[in-house]
Amino acid sequence: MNGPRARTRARAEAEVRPILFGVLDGDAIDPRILDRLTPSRRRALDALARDLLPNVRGPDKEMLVGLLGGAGGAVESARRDSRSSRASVRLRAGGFLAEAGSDSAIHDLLALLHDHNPQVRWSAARGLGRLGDPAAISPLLASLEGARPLPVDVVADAIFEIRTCPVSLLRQGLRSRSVATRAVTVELLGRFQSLAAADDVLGLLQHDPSVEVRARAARCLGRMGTPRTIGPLLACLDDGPVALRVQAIWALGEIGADESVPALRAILLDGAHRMAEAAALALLATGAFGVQVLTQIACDGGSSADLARDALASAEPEPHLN
Amino acid sequence: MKTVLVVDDDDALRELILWKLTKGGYATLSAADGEAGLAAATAAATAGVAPDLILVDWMMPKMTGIELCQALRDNPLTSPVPIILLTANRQDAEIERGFEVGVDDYVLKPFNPKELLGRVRAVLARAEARA
Repeated sequence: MNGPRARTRARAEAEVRPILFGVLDGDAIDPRILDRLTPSRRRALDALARDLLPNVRGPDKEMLVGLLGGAGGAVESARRDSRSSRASVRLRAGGFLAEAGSDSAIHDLLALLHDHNPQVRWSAARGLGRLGDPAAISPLLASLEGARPLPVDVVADAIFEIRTCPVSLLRQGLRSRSVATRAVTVELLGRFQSLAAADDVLGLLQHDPSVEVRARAARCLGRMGTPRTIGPLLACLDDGPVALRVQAIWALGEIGADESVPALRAILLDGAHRMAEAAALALLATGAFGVQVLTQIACDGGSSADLARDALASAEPEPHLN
Repeated sequence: MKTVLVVDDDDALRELILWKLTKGGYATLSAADGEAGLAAATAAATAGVAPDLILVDWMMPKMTGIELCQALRDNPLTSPVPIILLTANRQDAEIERGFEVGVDDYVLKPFNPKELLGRVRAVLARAEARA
């Protein structure tokens, strides 16, 4: 890190930094200054501009892209690199195109969604999220299927980042034959807290053949916080896969109604460790009545008491170790 | 002249913020991670010249921005210093967590450096009005 090369680079960066920051301050830049830069200074300037791209927005970002594009066309170069035979080059190019946000970026990133390298595909999905263009939503959903499918959470994160997803499109996704598409759409409905879709999600919780979809539906209902879904969530606690029951327990805690407390108490006292642990935290989340029950269990002793104490302690601010 | 301590592990961004603050008429201190930021703030405060404001990045190695804010608030010497958190995290729960540990304001990344300077001025003005 402190070798001669690093020192040379640091020197070059220190020299070009005022030029770059001046541009961000609105200084008009004399093209002759850029033309006179040595190749190493030019590289340092480009590297600094690239490093700053993810952190600035609006006109500042445009200025940086202009600076990069004006000197040999960094965007065009990245577009070429996105078709390189080396995955690391495609990965870097995709990241840059997403940050630069040029007009062509969406097309280049959509192409990278089908790359044979998974890291490039994931990065392209994240890049599409950062671009924020709703036109990427359908292709992102489609990328859940096919020979090189993207993971559910990668797609959900990307679409969530876009922020403006039509609920109608998501509700349509709930009826898809694809488990992954149903999982992503139910996940997003929860994150967007789309109450209009609560009945559809309830239907998935009760009848979907996939445990993953049902578990995500339970989580979604917890995020929506609709009290009328308490009954169906309580029904999930009786039997079924642990993954579903743990999510239903969490959801009941989030909805925070006193009527869930007896069932959560019973699980804390008699359930398997993972469920009991979730029940303790859910009791804490339900509010005053849940805390009262937790405190009682903590005082009574036994194995459940430890979990109750842990849950109560998690509500306390953590002391800092100096 | 007011002093602002900037704690950010991103060299390019830290330098940009320092540049902007200097041009805006502030004296600056800087640190490249949470531990160094805590040490710098504590040392300055112990010497009786606590920074007037601390800008803290959320995601940092060794000690996160939230952990740093908590540590600053736990120390009577640094607890009154206003803190602005820089974060790319847009989730409400995470932002609430920042306010829970005593952050005065936050700036979402990507940001406009001019806007950041405006926030610094506003938080310092509020702190001055409180004093």
